[in-house]
Amino acid sequence: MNIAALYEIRRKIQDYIMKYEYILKPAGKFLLSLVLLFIIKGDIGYNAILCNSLLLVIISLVCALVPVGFISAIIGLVILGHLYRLSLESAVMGAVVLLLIFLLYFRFSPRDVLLLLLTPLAIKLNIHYALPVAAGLLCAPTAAAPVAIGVLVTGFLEKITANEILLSGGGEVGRATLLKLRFLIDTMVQNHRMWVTALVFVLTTIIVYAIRRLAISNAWLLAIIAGTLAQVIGLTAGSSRFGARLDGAALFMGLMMSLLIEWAIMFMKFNVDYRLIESVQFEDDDYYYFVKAVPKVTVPGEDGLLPAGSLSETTADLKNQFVKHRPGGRKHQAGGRA
Amino acid sequence: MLNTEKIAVMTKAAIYEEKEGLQDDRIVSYFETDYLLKGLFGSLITYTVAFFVIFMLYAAYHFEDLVLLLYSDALTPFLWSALRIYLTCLVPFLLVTFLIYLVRYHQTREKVSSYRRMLETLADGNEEEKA
Repeated sequence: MNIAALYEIRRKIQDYIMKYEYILKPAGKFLLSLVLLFIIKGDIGYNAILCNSLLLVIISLVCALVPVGFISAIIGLVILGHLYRLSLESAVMGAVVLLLIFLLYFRFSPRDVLLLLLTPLAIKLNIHYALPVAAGLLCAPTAAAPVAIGVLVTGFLEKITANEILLSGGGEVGRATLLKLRFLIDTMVQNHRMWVTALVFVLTTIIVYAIRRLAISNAWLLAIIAGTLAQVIGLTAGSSRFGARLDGAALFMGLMMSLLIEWAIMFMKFNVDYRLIESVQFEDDDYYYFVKAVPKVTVPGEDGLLPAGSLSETTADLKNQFVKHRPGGRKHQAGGRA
Repeated sequence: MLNTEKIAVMTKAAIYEEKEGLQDDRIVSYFETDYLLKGLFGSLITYTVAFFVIFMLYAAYHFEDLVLLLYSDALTPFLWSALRIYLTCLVPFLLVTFLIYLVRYHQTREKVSSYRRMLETLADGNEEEKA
């Protein structure tokens, strides 16, 4: 397959998304929610009511209609529902974890909460190594937080699953309750693999972000390579430091698949920024305007246009990105940024 | 006859209004110091609640030791240690809050200025057309 065929595929994807964006967005949220709910059902499905497939479909339909932040809240409540069925102590610990996330992270009105939702899914598919690199390529450094939080939450739920027999059972609140709580705190604090992974992911995101913002050629490719190396070095060093077992084969396969995903992101991002497709309407004295604005993001040299900035850039750059074509075929660039 | 440059500027202004305009307007309605103080105060509240939650977890973990502590002379030093840890972690958290809110305020102010320049451009264009 040559590069021209890839560009053609990219253009077709762009046209398809433009045409069906109003369906694709809610459908995407529905599918993501449904998959997450079924993953939760498979891992910690202790509550029979919350394991009902029809109910999960209904919850996913609700998630399709609400903002992504609300989806994380709904998923959190479902998790608590399952943990409460297992034992009060698990539910209390789960509530504490979710409360701390809410207090310390959502405080800053995060826009990258989608990364938090994608982390458990990515871990299941062993492509979670792509997440910190994708976060560094597409978002601000603060996107490191949702990736790390996703790792911590997934690690917490894994420990719950691994020790469900020990944690299950009710009975009177007493010494057994304290022992279970102590056990849960120990599993969280002493889960070195989880903390090392979260820390490595944070550092990877920051490194990738710093490199891709450099004014050098192939900055994105260098950022991807640096991010991957940072993960290999960090995870290997962390595992040997704490004596945690590192599955080399799984790590290798995961990194290879993640590299493919990161390359795909790099290939698409330079040409399509789907988040910026906007439909607006307004009027002046003469006309009503129904406008669909699609950002034209191209590599330098294609039609003399410059790449538009990312969503994180200020709109002070908007005017600079508007390339004016003067009469006579000369193109004037009102400032810009490659 | 459509004025394509005018349409482009109007479109960008309309996109900004619809997406971020309202939120940005709320932010720049504050003076910079007031906005920063608002953020810091909110962070102080949430950090204090989070610290209390973590302290409760610690208390549950060391329940027996704490009960013994209540009847000993070591209670006051323990509380002072807790306060020291509270303040030690509070400072970097507030620093991070300060930086985030500062960057956010300046970026928002730039966006709002850019939007106002777009409106001025449109207003100038309208006057030219009428003339």
